[in-house]
Amino acid sequence: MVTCDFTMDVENNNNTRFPELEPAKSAEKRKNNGTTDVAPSESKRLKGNDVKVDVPPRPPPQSPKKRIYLNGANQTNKSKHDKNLNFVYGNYKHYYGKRILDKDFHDIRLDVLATQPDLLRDKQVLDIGCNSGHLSIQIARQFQVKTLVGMDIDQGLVKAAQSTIYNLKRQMNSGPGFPHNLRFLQGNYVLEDDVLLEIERPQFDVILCLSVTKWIHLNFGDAGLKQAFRRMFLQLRPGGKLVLEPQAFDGYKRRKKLSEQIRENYNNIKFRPEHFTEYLLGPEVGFASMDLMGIPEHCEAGFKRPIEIFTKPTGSKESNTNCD
Amino acid sequence: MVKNKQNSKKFGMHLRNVLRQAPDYTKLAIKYKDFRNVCSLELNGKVSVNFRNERTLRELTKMLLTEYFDLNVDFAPGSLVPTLALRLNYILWIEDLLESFKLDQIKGIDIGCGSSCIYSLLGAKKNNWKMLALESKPENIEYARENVKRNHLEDLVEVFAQPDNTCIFKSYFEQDTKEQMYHFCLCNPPFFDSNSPNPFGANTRNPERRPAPNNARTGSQEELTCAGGEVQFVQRIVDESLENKLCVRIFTSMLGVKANVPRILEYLKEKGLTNVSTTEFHQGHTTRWAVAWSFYTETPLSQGTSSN
Repeated sequence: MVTCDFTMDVENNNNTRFPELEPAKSAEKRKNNGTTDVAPSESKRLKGNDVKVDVPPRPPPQSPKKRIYLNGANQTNKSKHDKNLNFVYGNYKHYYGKRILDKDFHDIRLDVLATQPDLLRDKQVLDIGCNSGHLSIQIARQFQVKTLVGMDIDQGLVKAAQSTIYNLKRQMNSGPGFPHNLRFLQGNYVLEDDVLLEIERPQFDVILCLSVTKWIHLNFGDAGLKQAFRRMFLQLRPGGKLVLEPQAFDGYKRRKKLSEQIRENYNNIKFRPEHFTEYLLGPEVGFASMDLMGIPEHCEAGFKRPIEIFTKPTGSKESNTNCD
Repeated sequence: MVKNKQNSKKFGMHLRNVLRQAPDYTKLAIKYKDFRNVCSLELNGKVSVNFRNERTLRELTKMLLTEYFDLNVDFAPGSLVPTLALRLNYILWIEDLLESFKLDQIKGIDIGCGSSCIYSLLGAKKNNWKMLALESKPENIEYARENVKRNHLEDLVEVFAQPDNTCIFKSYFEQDTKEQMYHFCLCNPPFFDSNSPNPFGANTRNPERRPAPNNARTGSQEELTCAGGEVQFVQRIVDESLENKLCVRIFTSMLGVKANVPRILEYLKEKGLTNVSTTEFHQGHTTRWAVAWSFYTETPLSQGTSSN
């Protein structure tokens, strides 16, 4: 059974697809289709394993009745609208399988992060939009963070992340340190109302916001994204760092049909990605500086997003925090 | 008591208690700034409340009174911060006791109204009851009167300054020329015995099954303790009720300790009172009890325990 998710192909900004996933023109190619199942080989994807990272078990084969709701090759009458609704938050199920294009199954962004090993070492880290946690787990292990909290809006993905950690814990000795210093939780990073920012408090040294801004922007508009930026600032300790990998605006357009709300938000966007840095460094947020960390090299053009570091002033007077 | 879906009817709050459904603290924190400032924000965007902090409790009760009853109440610093759920349970029980009489204008006495005057304010605002609020501590009297005024309830609530705290209604009825009749009296007595070597010592038999209340304790010495504790205090109410049998139709008082309920029932029996009823108030981890007695035979109170 093919579990490839065709919506994922569109995530690659260019139009080339995996050769194996070209629509089957012959019986032979169709056979190849079957072998590009992502799940079985996922366990090899993460580089530099001392320990085999167990991936959450594949879901059991679906009954024919349930197959209608699967995203995949075997759909007939499923409307495009329904298919896309499942991932309005970019909460793709096999995201890391698709994203990791390196033949060694290595997430390119780790190379960029590795250029500054002290950035994350021994720090308390928050990963916003962690999906199934694969990158978060790699980061936590490779860079020896003190603690890492991963947050995602999708409960299913969070459960998958928790499951991975559980399996790791069973394989490894008991704490402290990896993997006992990781936790995942479900939630929307965007708050119900801006006034709640008044009671937000510094609690992290580093916040990772990797390939998430597009989804916050499309689902919660300019206001939601600006609030999220302000929240990130408030949650950082003085001298803390935001590691930001924003998506470019031209990638938004193809997602605007995901829902009515998204379409409306898209049409109302005035706060473009080109303005993010200015806003983050400005008076409404207050980061002191922005440094370009790097741009992943050997990957599809669609994923060549700059990774930027914003640093919070040290010893600054918090204007919006309750420092009890 | 471990509460679950099956027994929440028996061990939950009164069915008409507006707090039976836990409030959405996140929405309330968005709405009320003072309350917001005593809350914590979780990563997932929900607001949490630390009930073990006195300042938090004060802001919480103030906010709930505003949100659910449009009452604007101030508490004297260091004075008892009432928990709204329990106060409501008591008021609702009294409503039930009086229900069958189909009275037009209900009048009640609040014995020891405190700085908040909360029972009287709730009774007046919610039910249009006319309340006589008795209080002996000068600072509390001042705050109580301010609270009545601020909420424009002077027509319904009278705060009477008790000259001393040894008597209950005596001084009031002695000076009351109009010979008024009241339908009920209610009371939150000082639970603890100031004469005891360890007044606040918990005497629960089984701490694991009965966890401590979630709230921080608030209140001044006089509000929390008196000579002989709640037993003696309620016995005094009983004694004075015997002298003013017809002034109040239904006498009630709360009791904080379960073991004291049979003691009071014994005392009532000794005094020849048979028209008696008891009840329980459940809110969170805390259970309180109340006793009611009446000299009016036309006001039959069912014998034995009832739970709301």
